[in-house]
Amino acid sequence: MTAVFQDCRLRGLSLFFVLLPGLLCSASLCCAGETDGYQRDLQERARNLQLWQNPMWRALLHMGRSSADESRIDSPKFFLSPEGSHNPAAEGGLTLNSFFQPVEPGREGEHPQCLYPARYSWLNEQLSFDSDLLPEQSCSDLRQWLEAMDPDGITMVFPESYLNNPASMFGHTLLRVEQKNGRSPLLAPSINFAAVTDEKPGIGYALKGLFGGYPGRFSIGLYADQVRAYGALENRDIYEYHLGLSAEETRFLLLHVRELQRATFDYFFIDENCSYQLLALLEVGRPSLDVINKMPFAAVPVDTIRLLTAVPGMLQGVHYRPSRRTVLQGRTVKFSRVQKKIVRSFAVQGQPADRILWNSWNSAEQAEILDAASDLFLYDQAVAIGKNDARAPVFQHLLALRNRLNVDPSPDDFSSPVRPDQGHGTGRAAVGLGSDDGIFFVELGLRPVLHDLMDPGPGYVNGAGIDFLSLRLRYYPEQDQLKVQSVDLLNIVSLAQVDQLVRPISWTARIGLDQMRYAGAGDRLTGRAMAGFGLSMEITDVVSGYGLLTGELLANDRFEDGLNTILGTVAGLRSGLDWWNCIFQARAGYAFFYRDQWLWSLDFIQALDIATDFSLRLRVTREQEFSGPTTETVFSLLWYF
Amino acid sequence: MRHLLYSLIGLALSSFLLTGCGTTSAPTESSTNTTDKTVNATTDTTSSSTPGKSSSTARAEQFTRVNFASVQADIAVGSGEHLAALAVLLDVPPENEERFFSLARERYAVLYATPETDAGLMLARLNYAMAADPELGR
Repeated sequence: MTAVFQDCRLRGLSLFFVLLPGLLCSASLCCAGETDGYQRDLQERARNLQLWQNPMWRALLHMGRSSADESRIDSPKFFLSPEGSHNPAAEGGLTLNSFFQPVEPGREGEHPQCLYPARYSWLNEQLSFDSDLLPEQSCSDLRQWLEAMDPDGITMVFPESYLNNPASMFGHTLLRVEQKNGRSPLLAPSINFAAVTDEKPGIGYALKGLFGGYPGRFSIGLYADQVRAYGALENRDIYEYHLGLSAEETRFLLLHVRELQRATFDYFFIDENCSYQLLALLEVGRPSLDVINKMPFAAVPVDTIRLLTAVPGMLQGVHYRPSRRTVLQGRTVKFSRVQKKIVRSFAVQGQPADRILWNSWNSAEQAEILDAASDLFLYDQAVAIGKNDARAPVFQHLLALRNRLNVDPSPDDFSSPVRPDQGHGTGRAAVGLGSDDGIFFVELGLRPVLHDLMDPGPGYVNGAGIDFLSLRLRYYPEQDQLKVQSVDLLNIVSLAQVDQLVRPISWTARIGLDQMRYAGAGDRLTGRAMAGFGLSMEITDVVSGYGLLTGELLANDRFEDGLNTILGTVAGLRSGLDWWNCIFQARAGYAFFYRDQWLWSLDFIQALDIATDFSLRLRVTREQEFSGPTTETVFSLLWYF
Repeated sequence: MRHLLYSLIGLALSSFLLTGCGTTSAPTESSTNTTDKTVNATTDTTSSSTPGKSSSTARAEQFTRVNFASVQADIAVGSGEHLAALAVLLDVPPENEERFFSLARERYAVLYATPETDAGLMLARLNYAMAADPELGR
């Protein structure tokens, strides 16, 4: 009340000097009455204008557009009203009243106008506050912060997965604030939403993540940190989508980020994740986007990019930022085997493997080798210890040599591959016809996300696949029988190729259910959990081979204790073009605890892409499980959506 | 034997379970701590992304410390995005940027005279070199 009182006192200054001090009391009551009246007036106008049902007000509270939707913010302290999370009118009423609070000396920044600057800005715009009756606080910290932010626009940043890390194949999104006077994108602020946890990935981590066990928060940092973390250490290519938000919209969005410092959100990996929350933030900047309502069940980061780029005028341009590994590959793609050998020897020992040859090269050739060797050193170091330590003697030696050459680096000219948002849809439905040892069947398949090795490749990381909640149903007309053929809770394959320079591990992991054939018992749905490690390498320009050692756990009541173990191996050849993929794969394993026996299978799969979101697939399998050998053929049409 | 095999396979699988999009597995030194340990927006923004909140020198030193390898690699060749960012943090005007790049490359051996050189020492040497430069020292 102090501020209001002071303001009134100023307006009545002449009276103050004329009238007796005893009248001061009645004067303040008069002003307080005027203020109370103004508060009531604002509340009434807000109700008449239906501000509390306005999409912007709901967006500021992170509520869906339906009146039944509650806020996604889960920290009570964000709300002024105890009912604020589900009653926008109650929160609105208290918000208006709070703006009249007096300022506590020394705690100006904690005034509600400063704590809720986006609410204040929007309500002021709607209700045109009378600054005599509702004085505007200066909020100097906020103004200084906003000046430093210098907002001019927004870029949505999508670090895609790293080939040998498909557990993050869903990717990630964050925002970068474009600055009016910004000369370096590395120094621009970035807005990130992440779960707050120190736990390492594992079963507990995954379950807590799936069911909202972690709080998620917005944070603002330096974009250079994101480039280093994703591009240099995790080796993920980064796509920067410059969006059509204006400077004013960006400024308002930042005001809202500022007020979200009091907010935490239960973090759900599948739906209410980083990408979902960033869309909600963008809707605050521009409510007419209305993209949250168009979100499918799972907020796959690339789908949120697709939603945004589909808005007319929203996509202003895309910048591709290759990862360190991509830069290394680009620099060495034309190198001979001998050149690559010398790059590796420099990266490992700081010396050329063949000094005579090295000395025969000119400075420009030596500079290219040393640039690649520095990249390789940092790549190896990041893979080994998860960070870059420049003080390593080999690195110091390489840079000193490179500096003495006094040669400008070759320009890095990386053209963007097909963008992730231009790849096939993340959902997939399939219908197929087939023969199971001569018995005809019809097969239906559905997979919400994301990509397997036989799906169309453009826009996705080559050699990496992740299927989540994939289901196949089969109907056998002759037997009038419908059954679940397989369920993939999670199926990950990463066939990262080794070459002369990098030696990543290939690996696979799967948890799911399959129909398995048992002698005398027919097909039975069997739980399977499998993991495997190995290597993959290029054989020709279009053919690669791979081999993995695998361990598998089976669960079915046919086994003693209900469990069985298979140790085995899988090997195959892959080939593919942008529109065609082919795999020939052999698998063999020994089952230990049930009819100790060998299981094996041979698979031949071809896929032909007939349109951006349609492909045909033929699969022929000869296999032996816990019965005699069988042959199966399936021909399917797949639709990506 | 059986339970050992079950345990090994279960362990291998659990390590691969979904990490979602909101975290990053890379343990990174960060000037803002924004990746896997999120802190509140005000703390972050006032600590590193707000030029007005800390001195230009402090921001340059923090940036160089966190991006030490990239900055050093750029200085060795006299170009690059990290060196350009450092120029901004050191208030080098755009028209003097090329000269700044050349100077940094020419003085590389002095800037990184010993492997123990840290960000503060390197920047002190760089500032000294800039002050002595007829173009940059104006």
